[in-house]
Order: sequence, then structure tokens, then C-alpha cells
Amino acid sequence: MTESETLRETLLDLERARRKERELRLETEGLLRGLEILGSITDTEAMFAGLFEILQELLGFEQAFVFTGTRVEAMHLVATTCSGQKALLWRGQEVTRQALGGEPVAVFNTAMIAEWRDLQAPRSLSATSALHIGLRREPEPSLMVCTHSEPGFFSAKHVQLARRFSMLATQALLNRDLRELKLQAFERSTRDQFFNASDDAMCILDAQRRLVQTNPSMDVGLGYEAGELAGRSFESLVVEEDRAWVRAQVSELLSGHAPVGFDARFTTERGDERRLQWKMSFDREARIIYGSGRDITEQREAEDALRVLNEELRTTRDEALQASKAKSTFLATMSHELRTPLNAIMGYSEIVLEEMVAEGDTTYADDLGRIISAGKHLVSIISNVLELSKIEAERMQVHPEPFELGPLVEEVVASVGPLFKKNDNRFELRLAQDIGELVSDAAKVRQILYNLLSNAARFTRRGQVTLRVDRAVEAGSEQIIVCVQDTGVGMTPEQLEGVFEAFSQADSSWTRTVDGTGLGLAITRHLCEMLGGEIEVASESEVGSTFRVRLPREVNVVASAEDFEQALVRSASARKMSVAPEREDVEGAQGCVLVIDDDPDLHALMRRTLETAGVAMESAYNGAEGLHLAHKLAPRAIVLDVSMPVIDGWDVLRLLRSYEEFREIPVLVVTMVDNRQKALALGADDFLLKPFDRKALLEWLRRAPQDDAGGVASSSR
Amino acid sequence: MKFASARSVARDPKVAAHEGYQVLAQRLGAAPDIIFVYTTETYDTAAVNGRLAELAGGVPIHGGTSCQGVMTDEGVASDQGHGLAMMGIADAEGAYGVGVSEIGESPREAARRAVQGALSQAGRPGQVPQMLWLMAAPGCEEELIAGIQELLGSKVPILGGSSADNTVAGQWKQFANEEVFENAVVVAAIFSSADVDYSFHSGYEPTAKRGRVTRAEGRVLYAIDGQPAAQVYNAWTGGAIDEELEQGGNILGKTTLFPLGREVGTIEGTPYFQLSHPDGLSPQGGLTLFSTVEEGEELVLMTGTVDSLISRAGRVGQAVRDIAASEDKEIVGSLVIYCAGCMLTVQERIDEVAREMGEVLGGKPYIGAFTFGEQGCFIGGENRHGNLMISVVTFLS
Repeated sequence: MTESETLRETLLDLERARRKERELRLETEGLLRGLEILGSITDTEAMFAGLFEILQELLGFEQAFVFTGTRVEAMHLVATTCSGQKALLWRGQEVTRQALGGEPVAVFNTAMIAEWRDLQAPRSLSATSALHIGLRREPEPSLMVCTHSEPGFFSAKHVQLARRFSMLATQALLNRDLRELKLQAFERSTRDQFFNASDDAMCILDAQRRLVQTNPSMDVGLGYEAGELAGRSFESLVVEEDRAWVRAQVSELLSGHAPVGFDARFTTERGDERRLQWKMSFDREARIIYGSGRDITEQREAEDALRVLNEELRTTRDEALQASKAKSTFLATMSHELRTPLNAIMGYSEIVLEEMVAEGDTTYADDLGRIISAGKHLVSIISNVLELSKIEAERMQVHPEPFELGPLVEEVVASVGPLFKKNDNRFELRLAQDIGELVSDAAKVRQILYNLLSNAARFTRRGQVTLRVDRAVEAGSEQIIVCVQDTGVGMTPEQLEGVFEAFSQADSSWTRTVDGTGLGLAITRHLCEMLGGEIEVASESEVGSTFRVRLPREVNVVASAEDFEQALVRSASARKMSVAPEREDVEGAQGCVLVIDDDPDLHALMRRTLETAGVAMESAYNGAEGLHLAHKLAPRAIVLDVSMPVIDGWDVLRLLRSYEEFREIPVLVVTMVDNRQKALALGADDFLLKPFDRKALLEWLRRAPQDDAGGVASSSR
Repeated sequence: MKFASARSVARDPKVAAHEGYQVLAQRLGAAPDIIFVYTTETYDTAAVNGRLAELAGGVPIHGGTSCQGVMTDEGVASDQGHGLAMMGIADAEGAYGVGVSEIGESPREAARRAVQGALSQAGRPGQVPQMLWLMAAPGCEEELIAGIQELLGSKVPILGGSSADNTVAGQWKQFANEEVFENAVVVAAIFSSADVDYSFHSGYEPTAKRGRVTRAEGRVLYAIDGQPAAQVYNAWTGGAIDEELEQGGNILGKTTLFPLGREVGTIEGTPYFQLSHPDGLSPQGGLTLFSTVEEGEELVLMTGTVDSLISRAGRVGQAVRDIAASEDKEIVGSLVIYCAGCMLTVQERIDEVAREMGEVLGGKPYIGAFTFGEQGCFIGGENRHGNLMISVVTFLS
């Protein structure tokens, strides 16, 4: 043996060993990386992607596939390097069983292998040779298949490497399973704790809808012993009438993806019924249903009782509304029916009285005076009743606007002056110098003052009535304090109790001797409250009374657009009134007054009144005729009723204000429909409620402009 | 997995078969899953195989005749050119099959049929075996290898030897299960539960004498570099066959230490060679060989010594052992093919070969045959048929 011979052979042996070692090292490193991926990556897709990359380096395959399934005979593709290949069914046979048994199988020609003959592989997959590696046999068989287009590509070396990988992979997957099992055990333990602690019924169903597990709340709630329900059909607990419904819900859950919610009645072991409201979700992977049911039996009973109660209340409310509507209708009808004859009674009484006085005949003057006085009282009662009705129905609105309080007070005082004189009372006004402006509903403030002063005037004889109006700060905001003090009859404590109630004059005997409807103070209290204020009274019988009203300097009401519009109209009217030229009398007025009303009696009364005052009058008995005559006559003023056939007064008013030729003609709405604000908003210059005050009518005519260029006159009651 | 070897020099073929099988079964402690059996031509091989098949009861049997003796881990079994050895493998987790085909007109087709038969018997049709173990009649081994590779690809190691007789008189036989053939290829498909390692060595060193084949036909080399091959060879060897060139005759014994090599590949610049053993002279001044050469191939005169032929078996075994140790594995058994020409060259020192082989394999069972051609897989993965080679397969577990 030569030295060189030994050296050459030794070199070859060494190189062979070195190659082996290098191969082994590379394989080992690759395998370890693969195992790390298997053990650490939880996302299946990412796990196999990493694994494919490493094994591709080691095995040199062209494509790789991973199949898994519950049965070897039907395994589904779960991962592949073959892009676009989604659905492949692997029918495992001998080679698969062999590979799953831990012995990788290299195939030099796939055409000879049963699995490959059965595989519906696409033509694009050129897999002449293949290597089959079992990843695990249980719980679900999992097989990796590596392919190559070259026949006999895979050799014993590949098999040897694959065998090592298969063994380690099985272990890694087992470890992974163990970790998952531990995690699941932990989760199950946690779940069980919630399960046991919950007050709601909770259960787990298998895909056949059998109860696998129930919590104590469910057992106890349905009257069963712990564990007694396990294995029973969920639906068997449901009362028969609800069973189909429940079955449909659970079927929907099993076939769909979203959780379902439903409630149904359940029969307890004792035989009674409980209604449970369920929410259920389906764990598609584990094939189990989680259910949580809340016992809503009592809640549902309470809801049912409440529903009945609500129904009763709704009926009662509807009846009340109906009654209220009937009452309003009645009041409106009564108002209309009473005012119409009263209009005639009072009007003609006044005319007769005036004519008799003019002729020097006073025989029936007192009697006529009483008729007129009684009529006024009746009108007052009607007005107050309607007003109170509106207040109580909350149909009366507050229309705030800025106005100077001083002039308003003086105006009211002036209007009440005759009453003081009538009872021979002294009156004193103490108006604070800097009383200034008030932002409130002027009409209501005016009414409050009028009611209190007229009240004091009527219940005081030959005494003293004092009105004080001051500013004050109360509850952090500016207030107006109005005090009306009299030295009248006063009230006893018992009388004081109901002083602000309707029809509760302190002494019923006064109703026989003193004018009054018994509604004034009730209305006053409501008006004060509507304006954000209050009223109180201090009184002593036979000594006198003091009414104290507090009103906020600025009323806090959110006005509607309509309110605002009306306020603007009123404001504009007020401004025009202040600049309107006053006329000395109406006799000298040019043109006629057109009266549009469907009541012939009113026309007669109006004609007597106007013609007596020297004013010519033309009559129209419905809206259409009125418009025609207005166009024909160009009257100096129009007196307009509201309730009329053909075209009602509101529409006539709208038309009058929409045509240029009528726009400047003053219109006075005289009606039984108490809606002054609407009349003004639609363009009326003033409003009188029937039975109308003849003097007020003449006064309005006196103030109304009569030249073509004159502004629209307006006045307030 | 367990290996066991047995041998017999009993003259009666059935007795020899019986003795061998009894020992085999006893040593295995179980029925074998495959039996490799080699006998000298002196046996009634049909009787041997018939009896063995009877005893083994359907177990695959692979084998053939060996030149003048056989060897096992117990040494060379040869009683005046008469001997029998067998190796049994009990491997319940493995799979083994033996296929055979008469070579006939198409060696390649025969080889493919034999492989398919072996795979079929192993119950692994279509599967890539760990390796194939061959026993064929000498003459067209290259074609057989090519045929196998056409079927399985080139990555399956193909190892084995060509059947031999005692006097190169064409009395060689091939055994497949209970049958005996004279011109067949027998293939064992091995799917063992153990790893296998293999080596294919020559034990010869290249010289500076090189030339290109300018005329060849099958296994007759007519011309090297345009010159009669026998003359060229004689010149390269310094007149080793002067006598035969003048008088004619068998040159087998004189050329054993000077085979012709063809470079198969290199490892880190170190070439390795496939050898061709000249055994006679052709009338046209050519050399007849035990392997096929092709025109255009470069031939290198190789040289060896008796010592290297003796030591190489141990060195191959040692290399396998080192690899086993590096993989933390143990040798459990081996199949050895040792060139009959080499065996004839080392003569009585063949016992040293057997002993050294036994020692490096750690006393584990092995069986060896002396063949007229060796097939093996080189370090680069090339499956080749060669002469004067040693081919060893070692099972590691």
C-alpha cells in the first residue's frame, strides 16, 4: 500500500464523513427551526407557511400540501404552496396509513399509488414523484405531501430526513396540543366559575341540541338536581306550544354564523311554567352551543300588568280628552249662543236708553240700566269662564315683548278709575321712578292689574285703595312687585283658603251685592304663574286685604316662530298707534263703513249705532259679498265677523291684506271667536269681542285714518 | 431489527441449507423477513434454495453463487472451494421483497421487471426503496443499472455483485426465492426500519498512465489513443502481459493489481474511480474486460497492492463505523461484496480481510460474497458497475 493511496482514500472517507456531518447539521438546524414554528406559531396558515419554507430548503420539493380530517379516507386540504389550490380531497389509503404510522413514503411514480389515482388534482399540478410525511395520527390525521415533477426525485435520504421530521413534528404537535389542552382546561375552569356564579341559567349543548352541561341556576330554576339535565334534549324542556319556535331558532344558529336571541316558556320539574329569555352562540370548531337564559317570568308579568294599566290609562285619557273637547265645544257653543242674544239685548237696551234719555224720558232708565249691567255681568262671566277654560287646557300662550311698565299701569288705572268713583273710594298710585321696561306678556300683566284693582274697588266702599309698583331682587334676579292694598271688607282665614279657587268669592252674599264672576282671582293666579311669578294675599276681615304679586322682570319663555311673528305685529301696531293722527269725531269722516257679518241682528244694531254717530254703513252678509263691496265701495273701514258661510272672516282678512287696493283699509274684527292674536297676526287693526262695546267701536272709528294715505289705525281695549 | 448470519460447509445442499437456517433462526430469535444466501457453484443450488424456501416458508430469498467461498462475521467459509453463508434480517417494521427477471434480449427491461417484482413482494409498489441489492449474471450490469434508473430515478442506491463461479467457467447462478437462474437479474428492495450507509471503494491508486478509448465495443477495448489496447496496456504496466501477448491466455491474475480506471467524479479535487478488470486478450489486440467501456472515455492505469486489497475492507468498515458513531448509531449488520479477482489475488490472506471486516463492524453479523463484478454507489451518488471493487452496505440503528 502506497502512502498516496492511503492519503487519497482517507481524504475521500473524511470528505464523505464531513458531507454526512454537514448534511446532518443542516437537516438538524432546519428541523429545529421547523419545530420551533410548529410549537410557537398559533396561526395555522402562518405555521404551515413557515414550515413549507424550511422544508423546501431541505427537501427541494416543488409543491407541498397539508391534508387533515377526521378520517383518513377523507382528508381536506388545509395548507399548500400551490397558489389558487383551495379544495382537494385526499382519500387516504395504504400509503397514507404508512406515513401516518411514522414511516414517510417516497413514491417514484404517483400513477402507481391509489391515493394519487383518486385525487382530483388539477392538470397544472405536475406531481410525478411525491413524499408523504405523517404529521400526526391523532386526534385528527394530518399528512404533508411534497411533490416534484421529476420521476424518482425523492430518495431514501429524503425519507430519512422526513422520518426525523415526522417524529419531531408529532411530538411538537403533541406538545402544542397539551398546551392548548391546558389552556382550554384553564378557560374551562374559568368558564365554570362564571358558570356556577351566574344568576342566569347557563348551559352547553352539543350539535344535536342535547344538554352537555348546565349551571346551578338552570338546575334550580327548573327544579332539577345538579347534573340531572345532562343528556336531555334542550327542546324537551320547552312547553309544547313554543317548541317549534325554539327549534327554528336553534336551527338558524347552527346553520348561520350570528348568535340568536329568543324567549320561550319552559316547564319545570314541578310542572309550572317559567319564561326564559335566551341568547345562544355556536362554537363552530368545537361544535357546541353556549346558551345563557334569563328568567323573565316576573318581569313579563309586570310588563303585562303595566300594559293593561297603560291601556286603561290610555282609555281614561282618551275619555278625558273627549270630555275636555266636549267641554270646549260646549263652552264655545254656549259662548256663541249666549253672546248672540246678549249682543242684541245689550245693544238695543243701550240704544233705547240713549234715545229715551235724549227725549227726556227717564221712566225706564233705571230698568234699562239694570238690563245693561246684568248683560255686562253675564258677558264678563262668559269671558272669564272661557279664559279660565283656556288656561286650564294650557292653550293660552305667553307672548313676551318688551314694554314700558309705567304707561301700562297708568292706562289700567285710568280704566278702573270709574269703579273707584262708583264706590266712593280714594285711590293712590305709588309707582317707582325707575320702574323701566318689562319683558313679559303685556296683555296678561294688564289683566292682572285690572283684576286686582277692580276687585279692590268693588270690595271697598268709601275706603282707600293703594297700588304700589316696585323693583326688587329676589332669588338672584330682578323682579317687579305689585301690591294692591285696600281697606275693604277683608276676609276671614277660612275665606282666605279658597280665595284663588274659581267661583269662590269670599262671601257668597257679596255676589248679590257686588259685581264679579268669582273667577277673577283664579284667573289672576294662573296668569301670574304663567308669567313665572306668584300671587299671595294677606287679609283681615273688616280691615282690608293686600294682594302681593311678584313678576320676573324678564319672563323666561321660549317663543315659537309664530309667537315671534305675532309679537312683531303687535309691536308694529303699537308703534303705529302712537303716531296715528287722532280725529276729533267721526261725523266728519269720509266714506262708509262696510260691515261684513252673517247676523242680520248685528247689522241692525251696527246700523243704529253707526248712523246715530253719523257714519254711513253698508252691509255684506258673507265673505264673498264683503270682498265684492269692498272693491266696489272702497270703504273707509271694515267691520268683519269671523264665523260666516262661504268664506269665513279669516280668509276675508287674508285676502284683504293680500290685495294692494284693500291693504290700507282699516279692519276691525268683531266676533265671538276669542282669538285676538290671530286677528292681529292676519292684519286686523283691532279686535272686539261680541257683544261688542259700542263706545269702543265708535272710538276705534274715530281713531282710524280716513284718508287714502293714512296709516292703519289701531287701539287696544 | 435484528441481523444474524450463518454458514455451512456441509456437502449435502439440503443439510447445508438446514444447518444454516437453523442457526439463523436461532440467532434471530424470530422468523426472518428476508434471507440473503450465497453459495459456491459446487452446491446443487436448486436443492439449497428449495430447502431454504421450504424452511423459511415464503420469506423472500436473494442470492447467488460466489467464487470459491463466502465469508461472514465468523470468517471465510470455504472448504476446498465449497461453502454456503446466509444472512437473515428480522425487521417487523421494515419491508423487503425480491424480484427476478431473466435478462434476455433487454437487460433494461429485465431490470425494471425485477424491481417491480421486488417492490410488489415488499408490498410497496410505486414506493422508493431505501436501496436495491443486486445479484445478476455477469455481462450487462451497466444496462441493468440504467434500466433500474429509468424506473426509479438516479437517487436510489444500487449495490450488489455479479454472480461468480470458481473458475470463470460460466457456472454462476442467481437465486430468487425458491428459484435458481443462470442469466437473470435478482433485485432485493429494501425498506428497513434502520438507516443504511454504503460505500463503494476500489483500494487502487491512479498512475500517470492515461489514454483515451478510441475503439471499444461492449466489454472489448480495442484501442487506446489509436493504438491496440493490449499493447498500450502492456506498455503502461511495464510488460505485465508480455507472455500472453505472445502466447495468448487468461490475464486475469496478472492484471488484478493494474486495473484500468475511469474517473467518475471528484471530491474536493480528489478523484474517485470506477475500475475495469482486463481478463483476456481479443484477437485484434484488444482487451476483454469485466465491464463496459465507451469510446471517448479516458482510461487511467490504476495500481494496487495485495496489502491494500486486504486492508481496504477494514478501512471501508471503519469509515462506516465512524459515521455511525457520529450519528450516535450502532451498526447492526452488513452486506459485503468483495471482488473475486481481489480475493484470488490475496489468496490465503482473505481470512485477514474477513477478520478485519468483522473487527471494524464490531462483531456484528455480515455476509460477504466474492463476485465477478461489483455494483455500488459512489460518494457523489453515482450508481456504477465496476471491477475489483468492494461494496458494503451497513445497517445502522
